[in-house]
Amino acid sequence: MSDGFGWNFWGFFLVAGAWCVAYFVWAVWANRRDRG
Amino acid sequence: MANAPTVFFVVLGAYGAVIMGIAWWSYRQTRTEDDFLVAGRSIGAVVGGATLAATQLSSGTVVGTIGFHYMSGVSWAWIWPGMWSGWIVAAVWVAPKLRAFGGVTVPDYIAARYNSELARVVSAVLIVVAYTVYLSAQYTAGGIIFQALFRWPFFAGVLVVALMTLVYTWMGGMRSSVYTDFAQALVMVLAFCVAVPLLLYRVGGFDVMGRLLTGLDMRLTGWYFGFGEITVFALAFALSAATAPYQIARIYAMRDVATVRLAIGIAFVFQAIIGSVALIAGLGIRALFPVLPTPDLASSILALQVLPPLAGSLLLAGALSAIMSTCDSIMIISAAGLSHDLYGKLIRPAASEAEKLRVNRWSVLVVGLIPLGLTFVEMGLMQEIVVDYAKIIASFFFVPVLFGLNWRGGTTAGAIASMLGGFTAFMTWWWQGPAYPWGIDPIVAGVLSSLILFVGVSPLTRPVPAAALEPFFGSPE
Repeated sequence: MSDGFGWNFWGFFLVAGAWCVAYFVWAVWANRRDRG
Repeated sequence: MANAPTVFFVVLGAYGAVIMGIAWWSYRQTRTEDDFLVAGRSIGAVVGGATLAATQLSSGTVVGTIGFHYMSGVSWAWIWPGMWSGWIVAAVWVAPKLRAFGGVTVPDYIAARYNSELARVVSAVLIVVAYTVYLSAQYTAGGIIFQALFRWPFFAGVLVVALMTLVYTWMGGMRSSVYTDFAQALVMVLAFCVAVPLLLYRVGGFDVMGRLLTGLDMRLTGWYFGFGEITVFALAFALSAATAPYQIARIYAMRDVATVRLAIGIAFVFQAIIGSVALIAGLGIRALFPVLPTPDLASSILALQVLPPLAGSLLLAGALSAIMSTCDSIMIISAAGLSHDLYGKLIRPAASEAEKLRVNRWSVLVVGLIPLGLTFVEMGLMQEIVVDYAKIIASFFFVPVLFGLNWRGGTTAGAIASMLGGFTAFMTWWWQGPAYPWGIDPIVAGVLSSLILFVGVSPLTRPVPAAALEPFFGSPE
């Protein structure tokens, strides 16, 4: 079936999840860096 | 849903009792202006993240975003990553420096960084004006919800939202605002997470929903908004999220810089969940009810006609939560502009803590009551109103805050010219809409004018003394 949802629908959930994970990796790294 | 009003009032009563309990607890802990405006700088990452998210998610989300998905389909969801990129700017270049500075209001930062009380006054006045009008949009959303549900007169719904928010903000200030935001964020997530599976079940699953929507209009599952339009909308949200004064006040209230970084991550999680379920909710309602008088009714229809009474009532409590959590943040930031920046710094710097606290509470009443009059003004779709206000605030704050924190060369005159010029350019463009001059959106005109004035005027005017720059850049080598 090609007439339902496409990548712009499913891709949004993927991007939202990946965004949160990537951000936490950076935040934990930045906090450790600041602690020296 | 014949017994919906009874169930709703029971849910609303329980919700109100929790909110007022938090307000009473906060009231007893609030003894100084620092307690009232920055909650004694005691907020941790989880509560901090929830309050950042709840403040971001306003009536624009629950009424407006669901309505926009109803009207335009999937593509609107892509404004979220755009807006989150603004939060990345905040996390990397704005929030850590501001929290380390440790002011009470954004005009505190402006006055310190640019070594000027005039710059403080300009920023405080712009904040009070822009946010007072924005508050009326949030009240209007409350009026729409009660009108749609119970056929109450519009102004009665406005009063319920305004008075409930005023009481708890008056009592406990920032502490009340932050902890009620936390409760409200949980209500929003719970409400949506109950509502969406029920809605999906009613529609028949994702596959059926997708095919129904494509059958109605190909653009609903494709690109109703093109890349350019999404980018401009996302830019407006991103620019305002990066330096929004009501979020900066919350950042000041957190324990330390490390807490701020984690809180922004937790805010992303809340927003990702709510953004996802708002998308599914708007699409599901369109599949079930293809023709509504206005897209802003989509969330009310979901609560009234799709969900069982308890889930529907929870969703409406979630909608009220979204509105009230934004209202309380706006009330505090506007009140702080009047009480801390104008009264406390200029009129009576020697005021006692008790007097400052009293003036803060009176200011909450003033800035909370004035927008009631503005709710009689006819407004457009909720999402458009929210986008417009996000743009106004970005047009005068983005440059002096972001560039001021990261470029030593910005001067007092540059900052004042940048704020006034950005605001004036935005308003000039906006009044000429919707066919904007040369096709340039007001946000682009506002921020660009603000930037040009800041980098153009600063090198020609007297530099800020090194001592004033030290809290932000350290000692010059």
